[in-house]
Amino acid sequence: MSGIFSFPGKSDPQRFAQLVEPHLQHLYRLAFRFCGNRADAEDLVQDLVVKLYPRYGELAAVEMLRPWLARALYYLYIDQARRYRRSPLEIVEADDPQLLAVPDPAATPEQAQERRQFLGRLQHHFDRLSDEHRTLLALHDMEGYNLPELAEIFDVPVGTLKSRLHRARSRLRELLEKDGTF
Amino acid sequence: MTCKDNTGDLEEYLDGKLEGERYTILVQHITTCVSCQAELQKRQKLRQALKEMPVPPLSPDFSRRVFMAAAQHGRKELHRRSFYTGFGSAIAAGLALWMVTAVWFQEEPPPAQPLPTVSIALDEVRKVKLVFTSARELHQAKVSIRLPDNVELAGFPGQRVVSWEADLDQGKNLLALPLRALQQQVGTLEAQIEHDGKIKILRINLAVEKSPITGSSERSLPLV
Repeated sequence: MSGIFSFPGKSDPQRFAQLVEPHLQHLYRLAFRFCGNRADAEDLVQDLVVKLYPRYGELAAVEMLRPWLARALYYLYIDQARRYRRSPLEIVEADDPQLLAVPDPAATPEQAQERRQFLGRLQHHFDRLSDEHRTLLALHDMEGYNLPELAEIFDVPVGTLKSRLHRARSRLRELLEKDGTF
Repeated sequence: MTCKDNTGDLEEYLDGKLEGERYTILVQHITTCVSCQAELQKRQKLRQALKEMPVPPLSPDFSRRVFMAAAQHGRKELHRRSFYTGFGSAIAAGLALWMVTAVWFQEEPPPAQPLPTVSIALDEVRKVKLVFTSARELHQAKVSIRLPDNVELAGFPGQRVVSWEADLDQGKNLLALPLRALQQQVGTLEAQIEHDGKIKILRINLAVEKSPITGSSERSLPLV
């Protein structure tokens, strides 16, 4: 294949967008799971896209772009989170999941309210998990990545991931049970 | 089989990965064990709830904006590599991205150089991002932010100076300041970095305007 390792040329903004745009929504969903609010999630995705722009040739050569991009997003998130933690000034308000929840048309008003409250508490505790637990649950339980894909992303064996997933769920349950939500 | 042995199998069962004899044994056990039935239901409920956790929609113009930023940054990088020699700033519509290169060991920029200006709507909280580029790692640098009267740091009401110690990496270091606009006027924010007896003061103008800033959905230019 020609041009894989070429530097971006005149037509590359279009080629780059064609390559990455189909994954934008998915990247944003992941970023939202990691960050917990839309503004930071959009910033994270934008930072990633900007970083990847000069690497068009490398991207074009990737066979399975979705997990590749998820991995890149994850490491960028971890890197940025580490930097933010060093500053006492980063204050971000999470979007309220109670307001975002899609109503179930079959539910009674009481059931709908109960569900919104439950999702609110779940988001609250989810946001308080460690980066490792949160990203793992986000990718596996929320966004449907399977264990072999996660093994590629995190570069750890499937068995280790299973244990970590188990611990992540247990921790989340523990938090939910502590405040009587679960 | 005891209920304690089930934990791993329950998870694999829910993943649809449990097979063979283990599957049969678990299913037989569950049909007779009320405690394991309840446990399975709880695990199912948690997984289902995680799947249902809502995600707000992307900003409508996000795709256009993000690819525009990428292309702009690509051009800037090219320009910077060719012509850029010391100190500069870059501001995207709305949010500021302030880049300072080799901050400790370069001369001050010429006084005539206009300060970058960021607009904030009155009462709005806006994240202003500063990027410090350091030629080397700096341990326990003292960072001080001096705020003009027209803004305050969200979470630090009434505080005009905020200082703390931070380690800076070699390369670019991001500082995001959530600023709340208080008064309709222009003021100058100063960020001071002090390390090993050397001080660098960096300034940026903050213009507080009455009406909402148009293009406020724009985000910063890239950080790298």
